[in-house]
Amino acid sequence: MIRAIFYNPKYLLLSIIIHAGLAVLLSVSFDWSIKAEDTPKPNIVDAVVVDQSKVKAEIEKLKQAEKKKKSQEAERLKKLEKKIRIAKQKRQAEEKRLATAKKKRLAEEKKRKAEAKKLAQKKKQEAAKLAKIKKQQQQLEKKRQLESKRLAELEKKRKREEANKKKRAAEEKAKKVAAEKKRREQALREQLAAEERAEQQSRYRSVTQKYLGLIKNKVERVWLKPVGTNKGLTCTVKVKLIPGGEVVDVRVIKGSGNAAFDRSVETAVLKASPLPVPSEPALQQRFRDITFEFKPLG
Amino acid sequence: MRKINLLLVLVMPLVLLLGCETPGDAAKGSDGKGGGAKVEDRSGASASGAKGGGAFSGHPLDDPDSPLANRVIYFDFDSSAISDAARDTIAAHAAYLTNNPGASVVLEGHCDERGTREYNIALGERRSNAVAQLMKLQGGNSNQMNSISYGEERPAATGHDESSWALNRRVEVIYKSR
Amino acid sequence: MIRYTYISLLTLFALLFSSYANAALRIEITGGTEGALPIAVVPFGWQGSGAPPEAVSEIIADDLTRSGRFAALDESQLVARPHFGNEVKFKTWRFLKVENLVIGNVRRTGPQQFEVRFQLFDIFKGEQLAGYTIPSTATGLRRTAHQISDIIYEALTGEKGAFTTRIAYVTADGANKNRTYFLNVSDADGFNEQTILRSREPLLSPSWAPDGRQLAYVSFEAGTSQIYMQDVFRGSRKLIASFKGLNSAPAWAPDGSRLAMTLSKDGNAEIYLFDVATRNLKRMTFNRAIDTEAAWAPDGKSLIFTSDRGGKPHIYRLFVNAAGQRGQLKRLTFEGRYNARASFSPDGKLITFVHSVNGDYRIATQDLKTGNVQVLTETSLDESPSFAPNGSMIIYATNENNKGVLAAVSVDGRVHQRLLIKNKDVREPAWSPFEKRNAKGAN
Repeated sequence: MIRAIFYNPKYLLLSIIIHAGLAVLLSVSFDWSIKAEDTPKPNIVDAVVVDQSKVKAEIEKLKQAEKKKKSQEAERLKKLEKKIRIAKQKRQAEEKRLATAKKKRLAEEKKRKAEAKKLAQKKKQEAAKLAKIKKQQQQLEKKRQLESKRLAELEKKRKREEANKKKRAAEEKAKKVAAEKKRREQALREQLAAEERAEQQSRYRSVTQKYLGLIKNKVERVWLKPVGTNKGLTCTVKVKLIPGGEVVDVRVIKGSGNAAFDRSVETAVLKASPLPVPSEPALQQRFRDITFEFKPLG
Repeated sequence: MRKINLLLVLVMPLVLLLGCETPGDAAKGSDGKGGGAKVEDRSGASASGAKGGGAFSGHPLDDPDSPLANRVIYFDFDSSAISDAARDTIAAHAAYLTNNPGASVVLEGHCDERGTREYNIALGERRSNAVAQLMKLQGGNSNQMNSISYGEERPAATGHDESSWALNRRVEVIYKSR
Repeated sequence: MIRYTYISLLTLFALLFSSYANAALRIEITGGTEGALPIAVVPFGWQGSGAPPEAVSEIIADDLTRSGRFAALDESQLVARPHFGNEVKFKTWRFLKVENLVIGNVRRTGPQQFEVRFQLFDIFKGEQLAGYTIPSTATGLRRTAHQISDIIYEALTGEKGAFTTRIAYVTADGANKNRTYFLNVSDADGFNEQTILRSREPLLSPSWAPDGRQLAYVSFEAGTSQIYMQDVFRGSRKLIASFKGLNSAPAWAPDGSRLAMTLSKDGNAEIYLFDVATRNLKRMTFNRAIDTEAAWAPDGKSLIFTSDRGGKPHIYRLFVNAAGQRGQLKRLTFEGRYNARASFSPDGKLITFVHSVNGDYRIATQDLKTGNVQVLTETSLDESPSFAPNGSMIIYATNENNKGVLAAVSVDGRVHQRLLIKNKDVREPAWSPFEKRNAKGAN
């Protein structure tokens, strides 16, 4: 590496320069703050939103400029008095000079007065400006107040509306609750009715089941199956009953293929007549048509 | 050793194969055991009884002490295998036939009553054929023997138990001519 | 619009169905008693002098009971004795829980002429199921009664009755040297026995020709087995097999043109086909084992037979075409240590045979489709099973009190009966086929 450096001396130089520069920069500090007379005067008339501090600063600035001017004037005056004393000595010689000086002084006073007037004018102007500014400020303030009033009113409105909304929501909720309650009551009533019905249905069902069981037992007791293969045979018959359970019609709707078996099925139903049936009129209708499926287990 | 004995040794198992059936029986006859049969050399029609008593003077077929007096060969159930004892009897008859070319026998096969009649007729024939076969091997001429079967139709004992049945499983040697 | 129509239609249907489902109750009946149907056979009325030559109603009652399907009421249980339809009071019979009623009347119409009238009623339905008037003769009255039994049986079970058929069987009488054998033909109930052959030597294996007019059988009259063919009505006979060795187990083919038989002329028991017209023989088995007891399938296309080629006797099936060419051979039985003497049911679905498992020889059936074996009897020396021509029963020979008797068992094994008990040994039953219609008045 050392060799490489010596082979390329210019790079070594460059790096040394850069490092020196950096060191210099680091050691020296620059004042980046802005001086007053370097910056342009802000145009406060264009601003829509009035910044109080800025206005104040400008007034201050003006005041300070005035102050400066005043101090400069004071200095000038001091210088002039000095000159007058000197001139006293020279009054005789310089009565003319005095007169002219007086004239000059008068002229200067005039000038001064004019300048003072100017200044006063300026002051006035400035005051007027200030007044304007103040007026503007006041206007802005007014605006602001109006605005804030408006905002306050808007806020009020909003609050009112919100309150209304809440009210309405509360009303709605109340309505809903009422409706729910109504619905639930209705449902409860319906449920009760359904339960009643179901209870009745289940009672009917249990009575029906009981009688179906009785009928099954009676038929099975009297059914004489033919000797021989009954395995796998099924015969379905439709039976018509009259109130009281007497069988008035037996019809084979699905035969087993074995004539003796089917005949035994028909006979069994006839032998079991009258079949036990419920006496309840609501159920009697159900026990008018019964389908029997004869399916012996082996 | 005679050539015939050698033949017997070779052929005996074959004969037994023909008749061998049931595993149910204990004694299955002498399958392949005891090599050759004893062949007695008889000459002529004179008596020769080795057993005791005096000499018998009459037809050898009528000698009660001669093996020729044994006219029945018994069998095990469902089998046509010939027992050792039977072999001697058969040998005796074979010898007699050999020496009496004019003699002829009918071998009647029988069975006990168990099983079906027709199958038993065939089984009876198998038994009588087994006896005939053995006789032929021992010198008998085939046209001296006629094997028939009665199946279960002519039982010797009419009981319905093993003692009767054992007596019915037989082949009877019946001399048609002496 | 259409959607509404659709929905409303659906609703309508749903309602209809639901109401239907609600209306029709459904009961499943799974139990009952199985048994013979009680039937009341009222003694027939009689118009004529003296006593009637036959108690027709008794024959009918016995027939029906013997079939196992019916239980004829005892006379003492009959609450009424109607002879004519208008005399029947259904209510009375219903009270007895009797399901069927037979009434009738016999009237003499000439010196040897009679008129038999009968009616069959369904008590609970209150209707007549059958009713006929049949002319008959003095000697034909039994047969007329059997005809009536057939009609009643068919009306009530849907199956053909076999009461007018006959059975052939062998009886043996006497002992030892006095033993005599008879080949007999009788009515299916054992009456009207006629001996068609008598011999001092054994007789066995009667086999009916399909026309019901001839019997083939084995006779030992010549001192050895031979096969004969005999006309049952005329008594004339022909010797058809007399070869060296066995001539046994004849079986008539369903078309009557040939017989299967067992011959041992070629060395050992084998099965041959014997052509009746040409007397030609065609050998069917070629095995050193015993092959015997051939029986034909109802379609004549196969034979089943007993063979011990597998070591023990079992049933085998051999397919044979009309020309006598052998087809497939397969073994049918695998259970037990002895299966022999098989024969087919008339519908070709079952075979029956003698089956032994542990020393008892019983009658069994095997379903050819499923291979299921059902043992039907509980006795121990059963043999020669033969189906009734209507397939409902199997007749067989067995031993009772030291005597051979004939018995019958229903195809499902439930009903057992003793059929024929005589003072002699009875064996080898063979049930005749249904009579052909053209045999008019043949008796």
